[in-house]
Amino acid sequence: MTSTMRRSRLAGIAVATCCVALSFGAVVAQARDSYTFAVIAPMSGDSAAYGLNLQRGTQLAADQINANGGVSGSKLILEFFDSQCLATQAANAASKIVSDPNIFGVLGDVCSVATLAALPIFNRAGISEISGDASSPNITEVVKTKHYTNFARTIPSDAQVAPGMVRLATAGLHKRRLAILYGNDGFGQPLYLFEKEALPSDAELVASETYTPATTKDFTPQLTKIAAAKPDVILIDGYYSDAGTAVSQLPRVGLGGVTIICSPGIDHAEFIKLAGPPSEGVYVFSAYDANNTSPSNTNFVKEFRAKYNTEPNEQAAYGYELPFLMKLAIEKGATKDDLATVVRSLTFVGPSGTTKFDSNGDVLGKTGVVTRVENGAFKFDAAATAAANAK
Amino acid sequence: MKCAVQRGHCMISSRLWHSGWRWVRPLANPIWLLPVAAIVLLCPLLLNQYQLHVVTVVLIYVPLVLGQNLITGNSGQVSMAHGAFYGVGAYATAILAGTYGWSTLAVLVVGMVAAGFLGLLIGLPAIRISGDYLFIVTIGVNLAFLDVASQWVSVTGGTSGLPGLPEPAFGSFVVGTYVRFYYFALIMAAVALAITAAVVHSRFGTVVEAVRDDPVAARACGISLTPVRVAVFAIGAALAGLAGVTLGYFIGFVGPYDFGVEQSLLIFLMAILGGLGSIPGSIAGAAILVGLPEALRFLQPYRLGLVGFLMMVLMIYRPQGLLGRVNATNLIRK
Amino acid sequence: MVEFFQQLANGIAAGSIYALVAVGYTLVFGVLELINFAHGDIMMVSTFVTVAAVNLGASWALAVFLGLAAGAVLGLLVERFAYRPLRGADRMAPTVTAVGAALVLENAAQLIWGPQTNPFPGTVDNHLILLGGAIFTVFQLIILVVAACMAGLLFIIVQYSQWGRYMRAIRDDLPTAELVGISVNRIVAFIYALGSVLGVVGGILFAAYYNAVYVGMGFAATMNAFVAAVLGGIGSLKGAFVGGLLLGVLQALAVGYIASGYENTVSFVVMIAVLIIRPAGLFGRPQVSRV
Repeated sequence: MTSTMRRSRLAGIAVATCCVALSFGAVVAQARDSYTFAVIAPMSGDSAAYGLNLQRGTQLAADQINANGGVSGSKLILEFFDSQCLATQAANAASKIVSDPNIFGVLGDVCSVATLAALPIFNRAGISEISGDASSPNITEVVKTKHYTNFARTIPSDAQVAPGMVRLATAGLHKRRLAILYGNDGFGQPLYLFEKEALPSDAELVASETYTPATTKDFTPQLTKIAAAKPDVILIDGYYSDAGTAVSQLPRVGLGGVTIICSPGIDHAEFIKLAGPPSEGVYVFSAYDANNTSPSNTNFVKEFRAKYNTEPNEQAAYGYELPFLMKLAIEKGATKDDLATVVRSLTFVGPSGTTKFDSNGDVLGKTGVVTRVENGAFKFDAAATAAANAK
Repeated sequence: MKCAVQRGHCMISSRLWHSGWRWVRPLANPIWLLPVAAIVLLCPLLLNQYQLHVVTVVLIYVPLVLGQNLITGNSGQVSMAHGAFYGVGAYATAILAGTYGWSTLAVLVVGMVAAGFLGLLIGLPAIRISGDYLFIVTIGVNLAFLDVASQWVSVTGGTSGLPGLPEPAFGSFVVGTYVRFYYFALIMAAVALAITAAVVHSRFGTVVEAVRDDPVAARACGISLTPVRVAVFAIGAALAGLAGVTLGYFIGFVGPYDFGVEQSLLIFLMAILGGLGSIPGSIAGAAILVGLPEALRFLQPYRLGLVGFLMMVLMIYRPQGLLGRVNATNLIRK
Repeated sequence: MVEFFQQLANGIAAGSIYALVAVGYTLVFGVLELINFAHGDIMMVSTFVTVAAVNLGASWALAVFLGLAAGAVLGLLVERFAYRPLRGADRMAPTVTAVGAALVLENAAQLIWGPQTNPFPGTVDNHLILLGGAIFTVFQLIILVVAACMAGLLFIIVQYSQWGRYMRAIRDDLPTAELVGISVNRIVAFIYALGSVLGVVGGILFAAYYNAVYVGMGFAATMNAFVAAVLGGIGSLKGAFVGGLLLGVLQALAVGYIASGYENTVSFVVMIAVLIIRPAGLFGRPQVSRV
């Protein structure tokens, strides 16, 4: 081995050791006259848009809380961790969170996949995670079978939303031939599976097609296939950008007049812009109604608009509630160990409505609202909402 | 072969020295071997949970990078399908251990064999497809794997993945704590190292490199090209499968998105950064590209761009990576 | 049967955009035998530039011009920094640096314009036409015509102009071309710029047609362009054009008759099949391999 080779070998090993060592220094110590919460969400990568909204909502809430005397006089601090909606990254972030003794609790995640990966780590460390946006029914399953007491979520799970959409179509609008277009990800696919199960015996699923979220732009092949089955209602499960594009292509395949019912997540102002004129008359489910006239919501919308110059959506609204929920729990005497247990016992009123929890930490009684696109804007549709939530 | 006593090398066993186990020789220098071994074995005592987690993740990546190094470095085939092989191993864990409750050892074996088999399947048509085409085709393999993993809901749990996997167990010894997971990953990495070293330093390894450097001459020497290339693909893939099984057990949850093109790119970059054709280089590459992003978390929004920039700089200014012996720019003759 | 024609129509509509991007891509691919992985992301960034310009109040003509200019500039930059330093090396290294360049562009675009999907500012003519039982929109036909024209224009340049002759010389034998006095650096830079400009046209049409501009459209475009180029035959412009249309149709038919959700698998299977059975594609020149 020549001396240059040996030198560069040593250099390489040194660099590698340094890098692993560097990551060790990255745990920060803080003073304890404040409550620090970790917010775990996708800050980069494909789902960064949703993490951004969560970040905005939680930060607005934290700022308001601190401006009004904090939590029992102490400041509320948020630390943001990127999970990229990937299991491995979420586990890394979770591991980092649990080794910081100053973190009181965890808010997040947006993606169910990341929540599922991080939950066992949080559970082992005895730290609570409260999510405002992870809606997969898998989480309920895991919480039940593994008896996790450190989790709660304020958003209704897909298992509650999907039957509502089917109910609106069949009982509310008297349709019998359903078609489903769903995004092939952790959000659209579970909704589709639950919708299939929720079909009443006198209705029929005549077509179901999937697409790759964010990548598929040409829905005409899927829509043509759906059109050939002659449905009288189409359920779209996914996010607003894909749904918007899909709806804009409906007339091209002759589906211009068919009733459309959209899942939560599609209730975003950009949807109408992306879909164009075909969006008129489309029903959109919402876990959050931005036009809700309750005082807590109108305040929230006003502040959000003022600070960020854009309309709030579901992630923002639910994210906004979380710090307030934490404040309430702490003021009721919650400690780091029993945070989730205390949260589950609370009743909270916020922009998304009234929040109560069941024994698995799932939210109770939060009925979605149904809006309809009228004259280029979402309008609350009372009859549709009642039909969707009827038992 | 003379039994010369050289400074710094001790005659651990003259039998080993002269037999076909020549590959032990480079590793047998105690000046650096003992301290490194001590640190490696005593890690859990020195590190906190997060640090141990990071090191465990590095150890999980080591077989991946070794496998990639075998395929791309030693055999000169540019494969971007490693994410898929990784995923096969992980899903093997999720399905066999999670759904059917198989034992850990069985899962390990099946995971490696399944991944290796997929490697074989890819390796076969890879013969007809040269250099940069293989790059894109293997990306296609990766994407196709994602399609299957997310569509085959009944088996793979679809896009929501399979949560709640059991912990690995050997008899009554359950790997349930962070410390035990570290040793589990360490043993897996050591196994991968042993396999790789055995392949590289054996006669087969020389044949592989011959096929890479000059296929025409190799052919002329009577070496059959196809079985060699395909075998390397299979072995490299099997190593990735091993890493996948370890990952599945470690996180306890398997979903499709961790095994996409970005993952393959990362593994590829680790191999190039560490240096193709160098086993210590692979370890270094894994350590750097797992440790650095964790240390510099504030750089996460620039992650992709930095990876891309690093790729460009490496190829132009230091194609042999940190410790490599093979110059990546000479891999495929024009 | 109507459904089949409609799927065919869908496929041709999507395919014409693939064709446009593939033709620009195959220029670099065909002449230099290099996978320009950054092609799609250059197209994406330039499309964003156009959209941003319009949103800031620029006229359409100016915005499109800015987008095309951005494409050309980015193409030149990629050529200068990701390709030229490696010209003597093997084929893998410039492919890897092109991937690196693509990632840098993607990250930059995401930081500047955000990760969400943006609508296209402006409406396109979506009047429906009935042809043989299948529904077309006017804009789909416009795209097809534009794609054909661009491909034809490029063909004329390559076959009949002097610079086209230089390009073909470089493709045939780069060292000799250099020896004969062709200014290789300049021609190669020109090729990158021209290919990128074509890609940008495709990108703007794509954004208009689907009413969506988003960071991920680059990678998807590159993959599709590559498959189209392989299908049609490496180095053949008309091959890339036909390959693009064919790919669109194959994908539409796959979704229509096999299953949606396996789009990528279909492209991949097609590509492998072509590379094994007929590596030269539909119109390409057969490659001779020594082993």
